[in-house]
Amino acid sequence: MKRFAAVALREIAARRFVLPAAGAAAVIAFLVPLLPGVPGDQADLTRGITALILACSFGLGGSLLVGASVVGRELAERRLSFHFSHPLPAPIVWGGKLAGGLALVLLAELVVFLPAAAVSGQFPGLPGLGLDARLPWAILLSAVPLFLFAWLGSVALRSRSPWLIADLAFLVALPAVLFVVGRRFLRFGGWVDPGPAAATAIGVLLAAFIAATFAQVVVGRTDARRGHGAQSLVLWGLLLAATAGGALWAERTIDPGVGRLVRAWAQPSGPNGDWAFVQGSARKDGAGGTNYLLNLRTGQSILLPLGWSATVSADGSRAAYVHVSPFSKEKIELEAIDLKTGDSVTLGLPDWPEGVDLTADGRRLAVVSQGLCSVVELPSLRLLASARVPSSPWTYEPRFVAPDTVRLHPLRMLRRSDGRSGPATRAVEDPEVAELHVAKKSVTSLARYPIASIAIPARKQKGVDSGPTFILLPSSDLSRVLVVGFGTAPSVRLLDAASGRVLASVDGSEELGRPTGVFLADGRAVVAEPIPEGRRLVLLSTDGTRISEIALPAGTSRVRFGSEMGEGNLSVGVAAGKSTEANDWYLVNLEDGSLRPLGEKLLAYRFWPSGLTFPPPGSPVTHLAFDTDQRLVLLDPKTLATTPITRGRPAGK
Amino acid sequence: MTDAATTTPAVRVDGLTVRYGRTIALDAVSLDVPTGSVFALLGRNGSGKSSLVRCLLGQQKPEAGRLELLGSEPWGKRSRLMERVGVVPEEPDAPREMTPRQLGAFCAHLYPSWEAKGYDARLSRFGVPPATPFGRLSKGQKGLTQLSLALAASPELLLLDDPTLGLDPVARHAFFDEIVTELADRGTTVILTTHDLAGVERIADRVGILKDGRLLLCEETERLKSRFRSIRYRSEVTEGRTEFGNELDEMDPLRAKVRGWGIESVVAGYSDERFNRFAARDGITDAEASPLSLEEVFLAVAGEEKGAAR
Repeated sequence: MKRFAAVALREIAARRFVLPAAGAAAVIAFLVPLLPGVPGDQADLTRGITALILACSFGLGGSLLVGASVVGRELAERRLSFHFSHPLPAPIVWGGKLAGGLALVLLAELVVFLPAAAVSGQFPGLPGLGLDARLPWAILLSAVPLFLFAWLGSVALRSRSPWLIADLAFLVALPAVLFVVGRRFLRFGGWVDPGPAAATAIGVLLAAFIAATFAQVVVGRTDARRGHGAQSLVLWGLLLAATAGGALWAERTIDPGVGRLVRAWAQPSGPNGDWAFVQGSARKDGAGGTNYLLNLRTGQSILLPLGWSATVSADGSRAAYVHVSPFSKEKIELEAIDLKTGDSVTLGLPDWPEGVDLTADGRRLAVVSQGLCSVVELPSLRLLASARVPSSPWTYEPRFVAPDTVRLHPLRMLRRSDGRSGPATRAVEDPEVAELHVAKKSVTSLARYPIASIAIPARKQKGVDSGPTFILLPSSDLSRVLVVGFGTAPSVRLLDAASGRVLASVDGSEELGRPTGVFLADGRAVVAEPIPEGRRLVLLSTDGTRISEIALPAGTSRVRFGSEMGEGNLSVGVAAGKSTEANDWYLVNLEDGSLRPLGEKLLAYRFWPSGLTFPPPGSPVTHLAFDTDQRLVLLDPKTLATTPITRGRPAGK
Repeated sequence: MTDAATTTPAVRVDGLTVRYGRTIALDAVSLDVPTGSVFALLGRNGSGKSSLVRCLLGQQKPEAGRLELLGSEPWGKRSRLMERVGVVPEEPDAPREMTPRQLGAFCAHLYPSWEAKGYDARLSRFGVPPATPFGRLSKGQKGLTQLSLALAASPELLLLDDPTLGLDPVARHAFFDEIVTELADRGTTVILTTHDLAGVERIADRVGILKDGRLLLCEETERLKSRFRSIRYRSEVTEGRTEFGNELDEMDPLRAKVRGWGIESVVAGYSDERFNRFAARDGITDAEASPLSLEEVFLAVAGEEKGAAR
């Protein structure tokens, strides 16, 4: 300890002129508020900021000058041998020089900063700026890595050894690797808490710097070249190891594999029955999100950037996927992915699209964004046609009727012009349905759907009146439209898409609740009709005739539609009372009206965007379900056996 | 010198090899330095002297070979060994901003036995101002300050790496006088590299000569000087001559020059018997042998190749 102190104190004594200079700077901080033009009520702030700036200058200059001279200069001048020709162990030489040099720099900073901070009464913070009190400390402590950097840089430059080439190469390569890893991490939805991540990065860097200076002194002793070699080996070895570890962690985080997901959610992707869009997290706390397109038949998975749903063409050759740019939340990108090769092309969009569709062969893409429908050829992204959709408070969903014809289907009524939630500010208007002819680059109006004429009963309950709103679900062949009312509109209408003629009506009431419904793949519709006992399913033919009525368990207050699992079976989730979750799932046979409980298996329910697609009944995506361990599984409707897809989270863990 | 001292060398070097990249600084050097002796390591610039000193000080790790300093391996036990070794480097390396007094105070923390009074007395004797920063001292004062530091720790071994380089004659004289005194007082082993051959001849009882990393010779000074001679003679022998004659072969001639008056040669294998036999040979007249100084021996061994000139 005596020897360590002797070395450390010698380092301070050798540069003791720094401390009086710091004292003079501290006085300057007190003089600046006296300058003419500085408001009297700003004296504390002016003094504090001046002191911090001066302290930082001392920290920056001091750490670079002292760091560069503490060993590097002595090595170059062949005076480090003084320490090594005396009974001083190399670690003590290193530690004494490190401690002495750092103590001097930090002491100089404190001499400048602390008097002003103490007088301000807000020690150690800065008055009037509202800054975190830790910030000045962080700024002052930044002298530590700078000091170490200067030490290493000085030795590297003065040694004139070939290791300098390696240093320069790694100095370029390492940030490049970090950029590539970071870019991929951000692109694919990796997320870390910036505080601990920054602390870890700084910790690793500091540890590498400290270890490198240690190796330089202990291994190199008085030989600058050998010391440089040792410091380079340790520095880059540690940093590369940490980078490799970080890259592995990042890769595991962004691409843990579908099978390792703990929490997951899935939905069918387009009319193809094999591909599902899976979103989940491999972490138990659910943090971080990973998106996959998963082929349930083959097991093939494609990692996707952080986004929402994906659409796969009917032939399964191509997918369209919308996501936010990893580097700008303002930038929306539509990616068209070749599912065989994994290649993708990216189309920049001005806004989040209202709808996207692919032709059955995946060669054309239609997208509606900011009131404009554009059709592009894939993968060239050549624009084939672009036209305005009908102007109205409706969002439009593009649907290819044929490769050359796109149906512009009004999907959802925007209740407010500002797009926010709250009381409706718009009156209901009859939406116009139209078709874009790609070759002619023209839009033809087909019909108007009589939505405004749907009777809205007077509201009896008090509270915010959000008004009526509607979602218009098209049938698979686009010949029919199911109008599903929300808000204060407790109605479902089956319309003829070509003429807008009403084929069937199912109404609810404020007391009984509102009906809801979906189309089946064959064009028939199933509507959950509110009745005094709860709900019943009404099966409607394509011409609106009631084919059958199937009673659901008494007390049912909410119905969610699942998938057509083949052989006339439709999965249906029901909830009783005020529960909004579908707690009990049944396999409803629409032909004979029987209900088969699915036990504790929670099925992936269909929600409105996927209510627009019709995977073939009984195809793999229709068997998607969750079990009680929150695993994503494939459910066999005959045996009720499950095949796990994700790891899930066993109950109670 | 005791029997134990003669049997246990202070330094033992066996096959020591040091390389800097492709350059071989020391090539399988082997030597022993008996305890209590004064060993002068001689060689031209770049011959490998400093590399050997750095190895002895544990500042350079040899590539091959074994090295023992006071019974320990210097690279691994450097710090402990330095408690027993005093060092005066070729270039004064003490911190420039420290005064000799501060240097003494600094070193006092490092050594278990530090003779502060002796240190101050030496500074005074050498006329070194104790309060002047080391960087502002003259070269001679710096060297003498470092010698004072080295001696104040009462070392068992004193390692002097060309310590008189650049010193004026007075400082050089004071330097060697102090070493002689130290030797007389303590029997300290001294290893000395120097170009000041006249100075070292007074005190060295053992000499090693390095050339291009190889140890050409290592033996007692007196023995060395006794086997080197300058031989002058006239020769009437004309038949069976080699390039410069084979009449001296028995005495291992290093070089020979044909002068107008006869032949002048330096031999490394002189003895009275051999010389008498040589002088009695037919055709050899006016033969005379004169002793060489250490400097002349060095020049003969390290200065030129054998038979390079005549």
